[in-house]
Amino acid sequence: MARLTSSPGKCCFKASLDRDATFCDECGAPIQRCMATDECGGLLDAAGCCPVCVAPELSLDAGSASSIKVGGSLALPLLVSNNSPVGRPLFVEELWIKGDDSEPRQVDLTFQRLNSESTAEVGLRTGVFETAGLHRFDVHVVVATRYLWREERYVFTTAIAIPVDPDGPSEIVQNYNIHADEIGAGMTIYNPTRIQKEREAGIATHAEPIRLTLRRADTLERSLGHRGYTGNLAVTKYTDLIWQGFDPGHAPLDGPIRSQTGVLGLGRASNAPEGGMNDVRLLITHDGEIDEEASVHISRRHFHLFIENDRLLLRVESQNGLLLNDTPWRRGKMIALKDGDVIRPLVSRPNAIALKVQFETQHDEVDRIILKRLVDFAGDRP
Amino acid sequence: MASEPVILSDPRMLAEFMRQSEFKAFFEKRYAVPPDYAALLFKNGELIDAFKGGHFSVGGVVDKIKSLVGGSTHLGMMIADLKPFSVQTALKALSKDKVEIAGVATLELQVDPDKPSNILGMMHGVTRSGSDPETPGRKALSKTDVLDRIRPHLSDRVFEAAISRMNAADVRGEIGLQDKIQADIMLEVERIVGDLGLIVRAVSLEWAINTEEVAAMERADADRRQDALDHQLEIIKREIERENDATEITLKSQVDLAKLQNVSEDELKHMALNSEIEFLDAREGAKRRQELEALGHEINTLDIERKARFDDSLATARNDVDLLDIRKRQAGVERDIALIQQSQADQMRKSGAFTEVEITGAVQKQQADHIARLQEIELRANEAEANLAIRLSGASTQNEISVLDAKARAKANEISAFKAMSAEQILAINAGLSTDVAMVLAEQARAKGASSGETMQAMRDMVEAATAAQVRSEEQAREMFRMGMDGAVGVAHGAGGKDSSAAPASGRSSAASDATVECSKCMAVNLAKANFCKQCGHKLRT
Repeated sequence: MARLTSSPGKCCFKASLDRDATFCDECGAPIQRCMATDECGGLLDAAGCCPVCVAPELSLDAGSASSIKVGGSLALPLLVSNNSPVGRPLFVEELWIKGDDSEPRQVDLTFQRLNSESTAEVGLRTGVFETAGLHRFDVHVVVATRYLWREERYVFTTAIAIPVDPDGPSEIVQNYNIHADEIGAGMTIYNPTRIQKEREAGIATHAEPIRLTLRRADTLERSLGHRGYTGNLAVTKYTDLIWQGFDPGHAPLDGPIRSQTGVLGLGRASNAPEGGMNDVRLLITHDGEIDEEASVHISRRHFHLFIENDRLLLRVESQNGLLLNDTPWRRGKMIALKDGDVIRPLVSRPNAIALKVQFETQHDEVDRIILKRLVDFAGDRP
Repeated sequence: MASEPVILSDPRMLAEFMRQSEFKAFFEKRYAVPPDYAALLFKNGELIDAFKGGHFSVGGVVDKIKSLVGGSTHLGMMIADLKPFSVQTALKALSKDKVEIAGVATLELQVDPDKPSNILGMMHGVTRSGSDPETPGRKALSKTDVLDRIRPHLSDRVFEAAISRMNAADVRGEIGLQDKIQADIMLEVERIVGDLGLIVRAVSLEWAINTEEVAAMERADADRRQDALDHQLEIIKREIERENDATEITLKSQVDLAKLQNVSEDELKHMALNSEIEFLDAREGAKRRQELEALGHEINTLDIERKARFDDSLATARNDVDLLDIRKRQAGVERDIALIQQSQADQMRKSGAFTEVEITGAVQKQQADHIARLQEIELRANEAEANLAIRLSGASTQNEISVLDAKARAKANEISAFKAMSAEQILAINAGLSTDVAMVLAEQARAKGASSGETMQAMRDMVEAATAAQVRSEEQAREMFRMGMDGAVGVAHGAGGKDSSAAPASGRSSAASDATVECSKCMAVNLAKANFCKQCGHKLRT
């Protein structure tokens, strides 16, 4: 397999201009387009994130108090911005704050959608500082990017260090929390004593918002259940899909999903190379002969397979629904496929055709997914 | 118990004895001697003890007295003032310039606090009776007594001696003299009463006005008066002068006024006219000056212009002269040419060989021959060029014919050779490989493939590999297989592809354009420069 870099090279972007290209003809890397590539034209980085669509920024608002005395607590004015340059909205799903030794605490958010180039304010309230010294807060922000019915979630984290001064009797520290919603300034914490002291000491108070460095928190993404499977398992965009039991020309080549949208369409209709609409053709065949009577019950586009949030997902497209294992699912439903799942497209004749899903894992990542077509198998266990 | 101070009975006294009668109430009273007094205690006329200055207290004296009282003894006590006191004495002396100098000497004296008992030596044991009004009836020493004792010694030894060395005019304000007199007095007093418990602390002299000074004063006064008179005189003089001038002006103006009053109207008009004429004259003068200045400026400008014009015309004239010279030279040259031509013609005529017409004809003929020769050369060159072009085109046509012929023959040979060849070899030869190479590949393919389909597939792969590796000879082909490059996978390169409109399943063709290449794995058409297949990621270049 070709190299994987943290971000796609220039050659890959150039190659991606060819809508049919699924690999870069210069470096050989698979072209992993963003699900919203029609809007953003972006490619996913090695961590499966589109830097064009997902560009959140956290910053501490200007003039916020940067330290406090023992026994006090702070409400930090946090600015959440969407820096996407192409007008893609970002959805702030959750915000968590975690103190030194305390459990993470979720912050109530009054907004979710952040349009491109827009900013929202959040007040982060710290607990009471019991001891002097440097206290650290971790802030986790869960953001999502959406395109049609698809959604990718990411968790970013940053840390804020707050020096807590010993409680000196000689000095009275006053923090003013100013609610200025009426004038559109949100909440501002104003500590005139400290500002004065810092001015006297020649320390510049931050007249500009302090930008906080955000890092992807992949462990948190899994532990908070936003990406991957329970049990710390992930299906990445680079996971190979191995097609078995298909007639020649009915299944794509083995390898990662390479369609432009990252979605594989499965159904009765012919495949795209033959001018059809599908990537995988589902037909009930006996020794190479198509059982047309049985196959007609398969919808032309029966379901979609795609990888989202490090999971292999199935979206039902057929009016008749389908069975996953023995559970029926209606059209529009999305289910995460697991190792050992059996997709039965025909609800009325569950054993006529099935697709068995098998995961082959390496460490905490699924290396290969074997999708095996079974036709007219007997019994409940294919 | 209140203390009764024991002090001198009179301020003029210096020392005084207290009588025994005054001690009557001694045991009833408490006496105190101030610290600035010395107390001397006598018993039966003998000095027993002395208490001086602030060193003693009455308690001590009283105790002493108490211890002494008893029996029929005569007790006496003298008290002496230890404070400095001043006495004044008049002095008279003659100066060096024989002027009588008078003055007052002030002496600061004091009973020696270290030995106050010696003051007894000054007393002569005088008992003053109550008859003396100035002194109460006590045995005492007054300050006047002291002065009387020392005065006679001062007048001549000190004053006369010192003043006689100075002129009367220099005595006043002379501190050196005062110092000398003080020192002399101190020495004298020390000599006289030094051991009698008296010391001189300071001496100052105050001089009376002597006659010399009086004369000087009078002189100075007279001078001042004279100055004042002179000043007064000067003022008066000035006042008179001013008055004189004022009078003159007044008189003059009075005369002028009188004159004005007396003149007639005509005269007044004349005066006004005169004044006006003066004014006009002044104005005219200024105007004329301005006009003159403008005129001068104009003259300057004209002068400069003329000079410039002159320079210009001078340069033009020089140029004309030069031109004239050139023309002259030209005319000379022309003339020389004409002369030469003439002489040449003359010579020709002289020679008589050719007439003028003949000469002209000969020249024309020569020219015509020359032109004809040139035209002939040109014609021949054109002809040669045309021949060359014809030959060239004929040769190329012949060449093409032979190439086509060779191709046709080769094709015919190929076709006849194909008869003996297998399908694999034909495939290889169609791909542009030589028959030797095709044979090797076909052998290898047959060795690999079990069925005919597999053999063809293997052959296809190998042909691509061989084409990519530019295998030309049998040795190269065998070398390729020896090096293990029998897998066609990953080495298909540059063998041409097929038309992009062709379906992947429609078989391969080596007749595709040079700009594209077909992936051996997925049959997708890629650009020839592609390193990897854009469809399947298969490596296209080694």
